[in-house]
Amino acid sequence: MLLIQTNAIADALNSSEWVFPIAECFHITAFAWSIGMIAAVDYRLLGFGIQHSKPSEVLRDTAPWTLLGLAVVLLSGPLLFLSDARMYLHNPSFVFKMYALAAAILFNYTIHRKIAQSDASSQGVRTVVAVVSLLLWVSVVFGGLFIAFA
Amino acid sequence: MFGSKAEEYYYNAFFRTKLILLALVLVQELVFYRSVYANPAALDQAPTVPGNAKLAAAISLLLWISIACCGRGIGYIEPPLDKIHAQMLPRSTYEGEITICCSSKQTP
Repeated sequence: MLLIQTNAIADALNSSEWVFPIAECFHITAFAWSIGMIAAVDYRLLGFGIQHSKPSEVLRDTAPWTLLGLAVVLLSGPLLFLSDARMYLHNPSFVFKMYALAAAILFNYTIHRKIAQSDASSQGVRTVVAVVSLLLWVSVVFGGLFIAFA
Repeated sequence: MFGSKAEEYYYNAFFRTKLILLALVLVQELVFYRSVYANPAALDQAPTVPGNAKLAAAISLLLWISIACCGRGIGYIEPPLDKIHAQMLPRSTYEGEITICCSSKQTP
């Protein structure tokens, strides 16, 4: 039922050959943008990259840009999805990507933020948090990439 | 990845643009090397970020975003290899052979 209602949106998206690729460009660029910002915090937690600033400062300076990128991701993503909703729902890579994305966003704004904000956390904790964060975001990217091959 | 479908990539307009833009990244680095990248300590001392550093950053971002988009575009177009091959062969002398070679379609 929901799928039938979205047909109008799908038609609009599929009306021009280049609407989908252009939306995809925004989606991919925004993902690269946000994950790059998050990675800068993770690298700081791991002990390389921007070492002259505290983790909390790196987080503070990147957070607005991370959010901006994620906003573009979450606007362009549903557009891409609605172009062929049925296909995506049956695509295991897409389903994987959605779970990974939910986990990554949740982790980013809870544990990740908490550890990055506390400049007193131990290196062990920092390393674990940074590695988990990087692995989650890489999973999202790989899930997205393999949608086309599933 | 290029090796897997070398000929398709070679004739793909997006692939060619992507390579040119990658070369331009190198050009950008060289152009701004002396004024921006060679002495980052000078940027720290400046009260505001100098114009040429901002310009270098803007060009760099634009180039990398364009590279990502061109990379995405590669998959959306297919160079007409049949036509390209046909043009490469001397048409007048080998017309018979062309028909034979092109009748068996070998698409990957």
